This record gives sequence, structure tokens and C-alpha cells, in this order.
Amino acid sequence: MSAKPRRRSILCRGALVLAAALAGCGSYTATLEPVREDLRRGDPQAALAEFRGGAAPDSAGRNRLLFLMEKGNLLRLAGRPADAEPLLLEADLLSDLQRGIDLSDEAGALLTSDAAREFRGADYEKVMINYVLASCYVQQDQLGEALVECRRVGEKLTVLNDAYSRENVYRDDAFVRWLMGALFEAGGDLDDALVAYRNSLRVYEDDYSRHYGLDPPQQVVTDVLRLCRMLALDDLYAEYASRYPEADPPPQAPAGSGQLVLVIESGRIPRKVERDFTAYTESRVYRLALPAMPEKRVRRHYFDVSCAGLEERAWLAEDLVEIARKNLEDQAGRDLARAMARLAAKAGVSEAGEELMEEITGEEDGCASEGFGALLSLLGAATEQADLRGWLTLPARMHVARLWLPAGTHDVVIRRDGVRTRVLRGVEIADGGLEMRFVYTE
Amino acid sequence: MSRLLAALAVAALVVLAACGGRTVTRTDTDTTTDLSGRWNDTDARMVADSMVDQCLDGDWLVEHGRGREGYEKPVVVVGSVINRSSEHISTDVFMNEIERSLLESGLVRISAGRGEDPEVRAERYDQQRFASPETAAEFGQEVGADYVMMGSVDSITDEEGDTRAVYYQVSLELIDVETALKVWMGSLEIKKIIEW
Repeated sequence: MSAKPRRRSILCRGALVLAAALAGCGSYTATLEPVREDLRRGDPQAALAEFRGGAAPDSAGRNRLLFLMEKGNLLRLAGRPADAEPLLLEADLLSDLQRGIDLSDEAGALLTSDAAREFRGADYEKVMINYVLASCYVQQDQLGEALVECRRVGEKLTVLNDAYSRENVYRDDAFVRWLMGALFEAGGDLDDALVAYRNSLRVYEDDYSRHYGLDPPQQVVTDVLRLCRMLALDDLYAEYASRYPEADPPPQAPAGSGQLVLVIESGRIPRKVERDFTAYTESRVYRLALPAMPEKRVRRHYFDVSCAGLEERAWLAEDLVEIARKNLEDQAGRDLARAMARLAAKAGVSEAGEELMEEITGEEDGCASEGFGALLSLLGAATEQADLRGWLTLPARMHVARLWLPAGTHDVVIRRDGVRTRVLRGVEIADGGLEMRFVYTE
Repeated sequence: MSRLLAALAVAALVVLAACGGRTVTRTDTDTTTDLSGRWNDTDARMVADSMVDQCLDGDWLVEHGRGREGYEKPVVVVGSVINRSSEHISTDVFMNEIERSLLESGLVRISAGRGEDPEVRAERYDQQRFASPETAAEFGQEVGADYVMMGSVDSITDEEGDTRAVYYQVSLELIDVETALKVWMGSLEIKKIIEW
């Protein structure tokens, strides 16, 4: 092997070894894996203990938002919504205040990687703060406060999308709209419930079927029809009935019964992976690293809910995996632009270092200056890492089941792909009431 | 050299001491403190002050018989305020203030409401068992309210770039319990511009 290819090979291998060493050095996704494993085993208490025991991202620095989001969600999953609430409210406020460009943050990231920037979260993660908060409020029987969180989702997404120069896929959230409808209905506000269900259906029709492969759920159509009937809006009923002739007619609530609305959060959102591109000359190595979602699709499971002799197939309401994928694709252009700027800045530093060494040694193209330039280039390539941070305790998908049950106390069985996975004991159903529960299962 | 080192160490300690710690200052509760731009104590105070003024200036007191012979002050129960905004607003903060101001005006009587009455009734019930017959409160002696005060908070948010405009509308109304007629309606609008 001649000297030049050998030098290239050494540079390239050196960059990859260094990059691997830096990436493996306490990366967030790796340290959080035991927490995710505990969640997979259905043990949120252990996940919370693991998180407190050292898996948590830094709680005061650039990962403060991530810390608040993860801990808030773990507390909620561990059945402590009141403790989760202040953390998530702080996360929402912090996210709201993260605006503009922090020059020192950007300058640091320009010479290292995007992982050195303050964590601000993807759009869907910002929205999920409000969803998780809404779920905490529902668990504490504060439906009005849960509605506040749902309203914030609409406002937040409008602002985020107005700020983008090109159209974003994640413009609205059909599931949160539907949840809003269920909350209005639980509070007896049927007019607003109908508006929310119709908005949800519109978002499923316009966005979810096209971008996430999620057709308008028949149950949402049934909810719209049911509310139209309850409010005696015959023309509107006819309009939706003709648009969805295959939809089941709305069920008549039997006397002495109430509703159980079950939101089943399943799986875990996949970790982002790094896609890197490396090129080299005889004395320089150039490396770009960008985040991507794994190619392997996460299997969609089905859930059945049975109670009091009734069984209902839960419908897929939100596919966070697909939303995260599209979110990342929308963001790819912005990530690439920053990566190119970083590449140029690192190349400039290598050249400047080499010239400086030439001035110090007084030797042009000398071994020391070339070596120094190559070393800086190697460091630049090694520090190039994709920003793989993300809210990793979020579920992959949300399914919903709605059952009309006789008033009283019931045990509710949840089956995943036909296999019993959870049992909710002692669920109270009030006559004419609406009981909402959130459960997590793998 | 050692003096220089000592001076540097002292300077470093001073800097460290100045960096740490937290400062807490008591301030007048009337001071306006806008930190995040969200609904705060100043807004609650504005609502309470404005609503009390509007309510006591309304014609409903005259229509109720104020100034006539044998006039009995109306009994008002302060009910709930629905939050329809996109912020967590503790409506109790201004409703408590409104309740207190109305009572102190001497023009109305306030009946227990907003979750207080079950406690009063439980106490009355307990007295039947544990208090002496002479001092135990009697059943059926509550004074029925003439009016219920209730309302809502709505908000509209508009945002572009680093500027956010938030418009709040707080509406309260007084409803005659017997006739279900609205005898007074008041509202306050607050608009905030928040710039980053």
C-alpha cells in the first residue's frame, strides 16, 4: 500500500473509532435503555427507580426539557399524576420560552455537533407534553384542566406551522381533537363535543390517511353521528351518513348504563439512529451525521377490551411512530443545512490550524503543520454526531375503546393480539356517566 | 507569587459566592409582576376590582328594592366560573376576592357556595349528635339565596414570530334563582402583548 492511501485509511479509521468512542460515551439513548426495558416488562415503578438511579439526562443543563418530559411521564405511568403535573407544566413553559437562536449554543454546536445544542424537542414531542398533562388531569378528575391542555395543542401547532416556510405534515392532531370531544361529552357540553369530533374526523380524512396510513376510524364517524342525533341535527346527520354509508348507526345507550372510554398506550417509540456519510482526501476527513428513524417498521398490534359480557375491538387513534418519522423528514432539510454549515466550519478550523502551525514552525507543507491540520480534521469528524435525543418513554401508539356498560363496578380485561395483557379491577361506571381511563401496555 | 495565588483564590471564592444562592424579596401585592406573560395575580386583581364595581353599580339592587321600606339585603351565592381559555386559571383567586368585597360593601349577604355548604351541613348534622340541645344549630333554617353569580373565562391567542397577543374575556352574571332571569351581566377584557 502506498503512503497516501495508507494515510487516508488511517484517518478514516481513526475518525470512525473516535466517533464510536464518543458516541458510546454515555449517549442518552444508551443510558435510557434499561428504563425502556422496565417499561417493556410492564414495571413503571422500576423504570422510575432506574431513571433516578442514573439514567436521567442532566436535569439543569441543555437537556433540562428532556429530563422534565421523561420524569413527568414516568411518574404518570407509575400512577403518580399529581407529582407528574408540576414537572410537565414546567416542561410546557420551558418549551414555550425556547425561542430564537442562542448564539453561544449554535457556535458550540458548529464546532462539535447538534447534540451540543439545547434540547428543544420535535413538534410532536411538544404536543405530547400537553397530551400527557391532559391524561394526568383526567386521572385526577380535573376534566376542565385536561381541556385546557387539549386547547393548547391546537394553538401550539398553529404557531409552529406558521413559523415554517414550507408546509409541514404534522399540522393538527386528530387524536387530541377526539380526546377533546370525549372530555366535552363527559362534562355534558354536547355542542362543543360535536365540534371536536368533527374536527378530529377532518384531520383523519385530510392528514392521517394520506401521511400516516391511518384511515378515518369508523368509531369517530359513529361519535359524530351519535352527537348529531342527540342534538337533533338531522341535516348534519344525513350529510355524514351519506358520506360514510358503511358506518354503524350510533348505538342507543341502554337505560342504567354509562360509558367507559379506554385509551391504551402501547409499545415504545423507536430510538432514532444515525446515518453518516464520510469522505476523505489524503490529509482530511469529512463526516456528516444525521438522525433518522429506523427502517424496520414497528408492528401494529390489535387490542380487544372485554367487560360485563361485552367485547370491543379498540381502534388505532394515533400512530406516534409514523408521526415521528414524518416529523423527522420535515426537519431533515433544516438538519442538513446545519450539518453542511458545521462541515464547512470544521474544514475552516483544520485549514486555519495548519496555517498557524506553518507560521509557528516556519515550514510550509511541513510534517508538523500537515499533521496538525489532519489531527484537527480528525477531531472534527470524530465529534460529528447525529442528535439522537428524543422523548423515549413515549408510547408507540394509542388505541381507544368505548363501551356502554351497566352502572356499577366492573373488571375490564385487555387483550393484545388475542392474549390477555392487562386487567383493570374495580372500574366504577355511573349511570349516564363517562369514565375515562389511560392504560399502558407493551 | 504566594500572595498572587492567595489573591486569586480569594477572588475566585468571591465570584463563587456571588454566583450561588437565591434572593427572595417581599413586595407589595399590588406590584405588577409580568414574568412569563401568562395569567397572573395582577389579572385576577383587575377582574375582582372591576367586577365588584360593575356589580354594585348595577340597577339590580334598586330593582331588588334597595331604598324601599322593609328592604332586605339580597342573598347571593357565588357559584362556579368555567375556564374556557387555553391557560390554567385559578378562578377561585378572583371569585374569593369578589365574594369578600361584596360582603364588605354591606349591600348584599353572601351564602356559602362553591363546595362550602356540604361542610356547613355536615357540621350541623354533627351538632345534633354532639352539641347540647340549647346550642345545636337547627335544621331547615338556612337562608335561601336570591341570586347565583356564575361566569366564564375565554381567551384568544394570536402569535407571529416573537410576538404573542392574548385576549381574555371574563364574564360574570347574576341570575335570579326564582325567575331564572339574568339581572346583571358584567365583563372585563384584558389584552396582553408578549414579545421575546
